[in-house]
Amino acid sequence: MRPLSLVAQIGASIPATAFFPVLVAIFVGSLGGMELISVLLALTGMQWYLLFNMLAGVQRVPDDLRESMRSLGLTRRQIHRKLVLPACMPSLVTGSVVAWGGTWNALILSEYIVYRGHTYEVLGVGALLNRATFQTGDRTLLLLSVAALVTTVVAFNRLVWKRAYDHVQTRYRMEA
Amino acid sequence: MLELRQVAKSFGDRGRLVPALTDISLAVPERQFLCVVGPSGSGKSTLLRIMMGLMPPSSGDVLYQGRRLSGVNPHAAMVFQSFALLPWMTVQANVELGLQARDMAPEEASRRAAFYLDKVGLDGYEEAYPRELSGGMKQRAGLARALAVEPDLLLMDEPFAGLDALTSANLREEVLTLWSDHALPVDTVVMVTHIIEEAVLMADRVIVLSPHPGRIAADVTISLERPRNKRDEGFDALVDSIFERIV
Repeated sequence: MRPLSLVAQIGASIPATAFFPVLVAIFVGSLGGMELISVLLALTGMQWYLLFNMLAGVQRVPDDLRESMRSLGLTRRQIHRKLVLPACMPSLVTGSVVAWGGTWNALILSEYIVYRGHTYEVLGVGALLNRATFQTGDRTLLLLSVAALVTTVVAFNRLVWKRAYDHVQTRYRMEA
Repeated sequence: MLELRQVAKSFGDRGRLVPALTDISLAVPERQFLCVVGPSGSGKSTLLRIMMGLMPPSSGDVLYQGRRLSGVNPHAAMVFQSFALLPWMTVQANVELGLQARDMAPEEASRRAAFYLDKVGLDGYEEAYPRELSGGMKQRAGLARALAVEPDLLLMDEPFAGLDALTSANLREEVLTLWSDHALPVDTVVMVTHIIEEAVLMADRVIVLSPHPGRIAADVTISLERPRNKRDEGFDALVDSIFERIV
């Protein structure tokens, strides 16, 4: 646990966007390159939030529950499946909410780039926002893009995370 | 059936070794109901966990049926003060956990779990989740889970401490009934408690631990006739004599 958390701390201290130029230099121009860059950047940004939350979740598993599983004769693998994984579910969801929040931000950066005179972009809400800002400068289009982004984020939170959070809180909450 | 020889246990605390138990030698014969009493810090729970094989002693030996115990004792089961049920599983699934770990066929595990749930009076609550149960019912489920693996040795860590007076009195009676039922597997019980009356009410023998580090301060045989009552002659005298050895 300790070496893993050390790696996570160092990794997390590097902002995901710092990898952007590197990713661009490698993948830009190839088929699906921008999509790949966006996905990789999103994942880099997300993984640390998730890892930290999962580590905290694992550490919060009560000792007596672990002991009770061991005393019943469950193997290490069975204890992971029956106790540790379910116990981490709330951490996984809260970690995901935070991670997705950061990732929307990263996507605005990663979906659109001007590189050596070429404009590379993907079909996405981040690219839309960038295009409205840099290509047209049209205030209405800009506002609409922001509205689209806000709608997407809010809808996602309402439809996915709120439900997942409620489900996890009723089913996987720790209590005596 | 269970024997501890010169058992000692220390825990590391910020680089220092703090002794929790020292020089514990004790033999628990078959069919004995043993209670371990002592103030907090006397290592009662640690002693129970060593007996279960959940933690190894720092020195000394634990023998079960004459053999050295290494790892969790598959012939023993444990009941926890906090019940320690998995909140995301039904009562039935919780009770079946130990049976699945023993690779029992699902139908048989289900039948066995139902049998012991019925024994502890939780018939009809198979599909309930622990959060829907009262404290007393949760502990009944914990007891059924322990009994379902049909242990020869039952270890209980302050099993009634989290319950109200009436509930714990009822459950005490039922544990005694289950223990004295020869048709049921459990024949030896070790129970940790800090309530001396509870120990005198239930046990054949009471071990008194003194704290810092925990060691055996007294070993008292309780020969009062069963069923016992707090108003029995000699009850108070026994409680007082044990109490004096703790302070």
